Amino acid sequence: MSYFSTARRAVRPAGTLAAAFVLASCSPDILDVGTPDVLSESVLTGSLGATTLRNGSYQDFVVAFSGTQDGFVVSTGNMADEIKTTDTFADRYFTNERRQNENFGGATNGIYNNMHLARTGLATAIVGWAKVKPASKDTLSEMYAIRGYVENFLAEPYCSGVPFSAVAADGSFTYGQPLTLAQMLATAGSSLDSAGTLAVGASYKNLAAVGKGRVLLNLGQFAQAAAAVSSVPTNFKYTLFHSVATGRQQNGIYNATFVAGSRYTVGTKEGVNGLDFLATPADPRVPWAPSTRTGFDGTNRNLPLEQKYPAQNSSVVLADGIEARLIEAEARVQGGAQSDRDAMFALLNTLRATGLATAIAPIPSAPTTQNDAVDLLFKERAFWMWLTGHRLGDMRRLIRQYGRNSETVFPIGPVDVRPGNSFGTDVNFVVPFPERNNPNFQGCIDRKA
Amino acid sequence: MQYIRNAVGQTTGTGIALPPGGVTVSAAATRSSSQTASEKRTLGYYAEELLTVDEKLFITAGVRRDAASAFGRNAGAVYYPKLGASWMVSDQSFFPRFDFVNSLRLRATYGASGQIPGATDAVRYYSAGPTTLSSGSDTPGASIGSLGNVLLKPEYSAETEMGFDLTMFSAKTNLEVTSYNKKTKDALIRRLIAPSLSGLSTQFVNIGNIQNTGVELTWNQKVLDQRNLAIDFTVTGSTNKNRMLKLGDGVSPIASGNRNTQRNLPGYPLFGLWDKSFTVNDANADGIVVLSEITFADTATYRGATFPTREVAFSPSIELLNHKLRISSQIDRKWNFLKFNNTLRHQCMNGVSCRGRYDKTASLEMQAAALATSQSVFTGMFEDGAFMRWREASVSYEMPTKWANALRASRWSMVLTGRNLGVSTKYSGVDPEAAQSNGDTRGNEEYFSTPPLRYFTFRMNFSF
Repeated sequence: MSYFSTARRAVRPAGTLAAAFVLASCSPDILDVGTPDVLSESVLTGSLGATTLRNGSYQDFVVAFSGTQDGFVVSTGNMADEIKTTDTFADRYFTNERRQNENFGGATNGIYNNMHLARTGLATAIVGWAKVKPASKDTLSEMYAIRGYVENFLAEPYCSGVPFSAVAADGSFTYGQPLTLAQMLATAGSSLDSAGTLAVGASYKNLAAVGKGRVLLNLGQFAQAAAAVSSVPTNFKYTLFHSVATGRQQNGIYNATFVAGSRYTVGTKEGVNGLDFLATPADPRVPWAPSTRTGFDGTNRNLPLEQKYPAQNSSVVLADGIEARLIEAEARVQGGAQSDRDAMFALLNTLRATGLATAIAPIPSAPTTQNDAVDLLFKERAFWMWLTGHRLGDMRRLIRQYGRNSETVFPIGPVDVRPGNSFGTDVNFVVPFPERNNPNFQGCIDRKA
Repeated sequence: MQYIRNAVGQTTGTGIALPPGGVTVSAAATRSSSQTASEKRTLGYYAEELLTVDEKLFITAGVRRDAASAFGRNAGAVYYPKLGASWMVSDQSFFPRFDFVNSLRLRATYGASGQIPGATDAVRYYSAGPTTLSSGSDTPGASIGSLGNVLLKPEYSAETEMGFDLTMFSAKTNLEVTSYNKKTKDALIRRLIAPSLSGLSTQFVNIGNIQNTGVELTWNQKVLDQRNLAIDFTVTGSTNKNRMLKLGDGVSPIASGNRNTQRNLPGYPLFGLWDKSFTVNDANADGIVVLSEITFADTATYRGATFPTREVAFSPSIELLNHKLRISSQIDRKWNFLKFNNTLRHQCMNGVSCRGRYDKTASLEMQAAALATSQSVFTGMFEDGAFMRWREASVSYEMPTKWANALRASRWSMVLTGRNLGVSTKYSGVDPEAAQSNGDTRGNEEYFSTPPLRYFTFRMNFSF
């Protein structure tokens, strides 16, 4: 027998291999590649880098607030009584029907993800800006303010329990603990305080002040809220701009409610308790027109057409002096006396006279009970700030701060856009399922208003 | 040594609303363009040695070293060894002599391989996009596009196979049996992450360790082999047991699939279906199930694998007319898995086209399964996906040589083949093999998907 009778080398002598290993270890650049498709962190430094990051995060916020077709304004209006869906997808119609579920994904996830994208992006942009442009305090203030609004927009519609997590520069994760509504609002207030401290220009001060007032209102600190906005002039406006250039820049409220086959429509008297938004003739604060438009589901026809955002590049007001006056009116009515109600009544009528270029007819008579006063105030708020993302937060406040029953505030009974179905009992959004990848998060702390 | 540079660049231009006669992008009223570019480089070394011992024992040993631009910056090169042995044991003197055994070969191999991440999977980067500022003008901006992963490593798989090849009865019977055990370490996956971290919803990670074990069988049998009649068949079969062994460091159990119906956690198959169980009790005996008559479990539990763990195929053939006419067929059976009937889920959640929601004569179980979808419980939509399919039938005929010659060919044959000719299954959807194929982690679900199409082909082969 002849063991090992044949043996052959398949590739190379060992010496050649050793040389090749050495070559590889000495020539790391042979594996260095560029990434022209994407921007690495290293190129986003210096003044231009800070500006680019600031712009990106600003746009992320605009997308989250009034972009896409499921932004903050549309989705909160959908659960509230401003908007209803004419869609066939469960994530949208279950939101409208107050029966959200964390597993739906889609539209429900989008707003949550986009708000966190803006929040964390602004945190990075603030650090970068403070390092290279510390003297440009107004822009720094604006970023803090927008971050404060974002934090507030995670508090206003969502259940208690949203975590604010972070990714460190080295890529490690810091998972946030679930925050209660009060904790989220406190975080938002802190960001807005920083904005107010840094602001030099009046418009930046006003942006921070209105945001702070809104947060304090959510916390039930009415007098402090009024004090925060007292210096904001009624004609102040902070506007978010849209463009037709790309889908990401377009006005999502228009895309959601205006075009044929849209996923949503504005509504009126939704589910028994909904306000009568669509009056004839139209209230100038709630401009609308009848139309023969059909919804995405093909079954809802002759849908009304909102006229507040009539184009893809229509701008959206984030905060204004009218909101400041409404905050003052609400603070005043907390006194509970007839004199307080009369004062609130006077403030509301002053706003009707001066808030628009053409005065609106005054409210004929002052409310004589506290309940009537609150009803009037919240209806005025709903009309003045129609389709601006205030209504769901206000409806929750009616329950949380004014002791109303959710079934007298939110839509109830049969769902007119989806016959055979009824409204559920939700008063807020549920945190989407993917957040369960945060080991600290085990679901909403509660679903209370 | 192997050096691979894979660079892809693409530039597109789009023009909308062309004037009469206009054929270029530049002539269009609305113009847009886009550009993408990516590059991946791999440097590998490979060495292999083959030893033959007395022409009966064959041993192969080798190793490969790979480094790649797509690895995370903190990940080093990776080595893939292999070792194989094949022993013709029936040629050994000690092997007992049986007349019916022609040869017996024992085999065993160990080999490792890897999967390199995508070009930018490990890179933390920003995506550029326009911003509309208060002036109403557009200006450049950038926001986080991927978190990257500095620790991202290639997926590393090592497989051990053992088996034998047995030839018997004058080579009329051939049997191949192989047992395999494949362990994948640092499996690559785009996992869901908590959106509160960054607003992004996914990140590439080395998810953990996965094991696949099973047995593969091939049996080829010539039943009859005569001039005017030949019959043979082949049976192939396999089993598979897929398990996640452990999750990577810092990786929490991963949900995936449509409606988060799939979960990946240690001890269970990858992409298995999970949901809450429920029971129904028609308390008022009216035959109509309402929500209050359904009791749901508190937590989701494992329901089953999404891919078949048992497969067998039977392929008989017969040859007639001096081997000129050949008729063959193939029948498959796959079982032991669940299929998510997501089409039915969609119909039931909407409640307008699902029998369990509108037909009071439907069984209580069907009504409950349908109604449970309104609570986002989809257990009732997970169906037994087992099936038997008549996969193929084929008839071929070798035409007379003189006919072929008349067409200046040396051979001429005609083949008629039919595919997907029938299926037997209890699955209620379109087809147990109708699958969503959008490349995400939905797995083996049906969602308004087309079934495997039945088609017939007729082919003529000419040899010149």
